[in-house]
Amino acid sequence: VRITVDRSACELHGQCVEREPRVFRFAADGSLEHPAEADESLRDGVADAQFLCPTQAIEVAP
Amino acid sequence: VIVGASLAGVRTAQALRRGGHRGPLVLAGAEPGLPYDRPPLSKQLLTGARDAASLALVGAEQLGELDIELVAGTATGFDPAGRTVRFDSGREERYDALVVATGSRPRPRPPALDRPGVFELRTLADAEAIRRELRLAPAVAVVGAGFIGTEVAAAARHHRLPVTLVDLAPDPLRRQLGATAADAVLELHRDRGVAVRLGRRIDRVPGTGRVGTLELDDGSTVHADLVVVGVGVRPATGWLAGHGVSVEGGVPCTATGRAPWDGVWAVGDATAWRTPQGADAPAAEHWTSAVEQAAVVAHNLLRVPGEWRTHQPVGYVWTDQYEHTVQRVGWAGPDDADVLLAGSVPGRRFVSVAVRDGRVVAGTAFGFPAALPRLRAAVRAGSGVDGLRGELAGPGAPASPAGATAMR
Repeated sequence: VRITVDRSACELHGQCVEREPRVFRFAADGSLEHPAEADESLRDGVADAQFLCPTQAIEVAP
Repeated sequence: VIVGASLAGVRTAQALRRGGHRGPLVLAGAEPGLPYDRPPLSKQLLTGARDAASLALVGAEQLGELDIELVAGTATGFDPAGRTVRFDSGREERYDALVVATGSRPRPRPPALDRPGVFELRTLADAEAIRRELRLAPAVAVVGAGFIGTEVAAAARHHRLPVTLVDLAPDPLRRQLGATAADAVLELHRDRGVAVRLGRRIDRVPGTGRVGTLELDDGSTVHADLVVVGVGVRPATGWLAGHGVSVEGGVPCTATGRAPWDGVWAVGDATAWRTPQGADAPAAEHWTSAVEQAAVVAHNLLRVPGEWRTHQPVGYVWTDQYEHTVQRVGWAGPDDADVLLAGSVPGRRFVSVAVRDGRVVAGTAFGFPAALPRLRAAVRAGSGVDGLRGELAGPGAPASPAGATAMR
């Protein structure tokens, strides 16, 4: 699954980090980090994270 | 059949399709148009940073792709034995499973404020009406210094309007944010020119037509051409009454989301969920719990009872106050101590926590989103205060989140 985060929309609520820490995490400087692509086995967690994002900043493509 | 095209309703529908539900799926909404996201109504929609079209939770195209039938209708009643739900349009839907997602509605305004020029804020139509009023450059009074009230006050100050914020309580926001952060929010409003009047009741609104002056119980008056009332919400569950279960405080649910009638589930503001241990879950009429409950109910609807999941909320709420985001994790009780743990209150970047028996049970990150993961982990684990203090202050502590404020 390919993941993009709209940085202008992200307000660092951290819901994605909470739901799928294997994909989303906060860097030491407090910014959000994630790989451009995650393994298929993580699809559910990524999809949940997308729903849980208060600013709907996460886009997921197949 | 999902009743309520709310956040909770829409997310349940989407999750059901994602989970493999192939049968018919009806999503009934009381409001016109596409389902939309509510948090921006009291924030960016009022300041003008976002417009109504940007709030859609799901597009018409996606509804089509997912084969979700969006119908217009307000539920007026249901028949748990015959498994049907009735709508004001006269329409009746038979269900195999019914998901209650009718949300909440504002508590009634004080009778003295039953006048033209007084608004509540719950729906998109409410927010658009208030935005139109703000353009007329009125003097604004906000009644109720909760999240909605303070956000509306900030939006009005964004438009450089004179604002008075009135609350019956001497210490609003404390239950929601803890004393340190609650006081910091109110101080921020004072700094930005809001006249904050706490512990005051509105006694009288002279005249008969549109509101113009509010008389408070200390004899003072407030000039206001526009009044926005935000004094809390009640579950919108009247249509479920009369079937042997009290629903005034929300549809009572187990931690799986099951309501006390066969085939009925409930999500979001309309519910009163229990924790997996069977205790009353703390009031959680908030965005995040609605989404989490939707995922749990969709999961359970598609599985046999042995595979059901339960909702185990940590509790997460946020509010935007001017350029600051304030984030709350967990739930505190009135007897928990509220302690400043890291950062600076005057600097408007800090973490405060609620402490019970030496353990962190809740906490607020004020302008400090980078502290949130550690705070949340501490609340979830019930960590000791000193451990979290060390993590937030010591080496490897979250640095100043450069992006956080610039991103607004």
